[in-house]
Amino acid sequence: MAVELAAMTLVQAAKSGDDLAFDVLLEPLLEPAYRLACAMLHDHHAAEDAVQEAALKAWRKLGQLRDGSEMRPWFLGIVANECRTTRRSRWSSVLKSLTPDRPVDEPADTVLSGIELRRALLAMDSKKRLTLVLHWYLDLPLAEVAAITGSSLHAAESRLQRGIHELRQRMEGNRG
Amino acid sequence: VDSDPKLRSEFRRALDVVSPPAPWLRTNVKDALRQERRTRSWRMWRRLPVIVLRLPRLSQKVAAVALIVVLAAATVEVFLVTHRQANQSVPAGPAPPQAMSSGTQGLRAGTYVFRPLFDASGKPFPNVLITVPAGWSSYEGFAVQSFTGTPRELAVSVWNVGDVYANGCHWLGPTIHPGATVDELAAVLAARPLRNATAPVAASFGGYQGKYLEWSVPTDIRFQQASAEHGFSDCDGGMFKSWSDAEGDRYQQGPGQVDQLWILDVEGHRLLIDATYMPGSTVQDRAELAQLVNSIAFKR
Repeated sequence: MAVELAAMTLVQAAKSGDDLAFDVLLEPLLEPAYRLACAMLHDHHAAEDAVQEAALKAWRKLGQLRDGSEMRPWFLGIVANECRTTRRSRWSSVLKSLTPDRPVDEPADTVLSGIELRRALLAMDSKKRLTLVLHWYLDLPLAEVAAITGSSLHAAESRLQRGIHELRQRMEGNRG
Repeated sequence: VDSDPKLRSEFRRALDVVSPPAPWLRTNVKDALRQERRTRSWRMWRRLPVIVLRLPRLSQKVAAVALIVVLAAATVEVFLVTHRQANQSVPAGPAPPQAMSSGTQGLRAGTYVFRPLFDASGKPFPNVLITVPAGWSSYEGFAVQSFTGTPRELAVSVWNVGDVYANGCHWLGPTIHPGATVDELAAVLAARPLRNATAPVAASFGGYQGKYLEWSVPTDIRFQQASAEHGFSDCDGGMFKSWSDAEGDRYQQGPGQVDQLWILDVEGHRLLIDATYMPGSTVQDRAELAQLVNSIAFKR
């Protein structure tokens, strides 16, 4: 409770022009934002650009953050939007990066199943993919996933279930 | 939802591979922000003096006097208008319809506007107005409901249906895209298994033509409650679903639930009105539901 109050105070301070308060709020969000962007784009260079651009947009649009709202879902929503824009303009690099660009010390089977999983994820519609990444990769609770994706709790849950189902079918198809 | 730890762990591993550490990210973001702030503050400082310095000295005086005159006139006008309004009696009339907000909101008796829906071309449908008695609440701006979460639950909602679940219980299976017309959607809904749908009949509603049908959820099916209490469900994910739209799904609230569906052609685009009641609702409850449905009006 005290932590939430402190965060709200920081949000108010940041909204009234306190840059230090904004930096304090933003810093712990950069790591999840970067992981989100990597998971959505599968290209860490593009992910870095997306997070940087999202940080600038967040600073410019801070006045739009509603009083009483939390910074994390709002900022991750901006990152997700940025990824959508980036992905639209970077199809070739996204497709190329399905194969990781660094050496991986894992058995060939694991590497292949990783490639297949990433391919299945990229083939999903963007909201389903975002929901799956937020809940399964960033470990965010469904209520926060719903806030980030701008949908109801039930819609988020349903999207998650369909996403998992799609992944499972695709992976079983490949094994079987 | 998280019943597949193996797949989840494979999923995480697959994404870890494309998320290498980026320790420089924090510094890069800070530098970008510093640069942005510097540019913004330089722009702001630059703007003011340019406006003032461009004017010759005499013009500056004239401008200052003009500004004072305008401000004084505005102050007097505001005072007079406020005074006049305070002394006038406002004629009584019907209260204008109020917009429903997102989330769940208790409603006072009155007329409300559902959240706008958009057709396939992005054009908004006419506003859909509904008049509710006291005791109803709105849900996410697209539904009004009463006795929520009880065996007497009632609701009216408005939809721009996208895809229909081929089997409401096994909704993780295929979906059907019902084309764009009223007749196509009516035919797809009427043919769904488990729903005991009535044959679609021609209907007119709020000045628009369409089709009407009723369907229900089987009374002997176990989904939500069974899932919560006994850890199993007859249906995928403990839910029974009807259709999806751009923002979510029409999932059903319980066994025996009846939906009355009006599928309308509204200016060339399809809109569905769903009035639903649970089997525990009374005759009076259903009469109230019918009253709400009859109050629906469309307005541009």
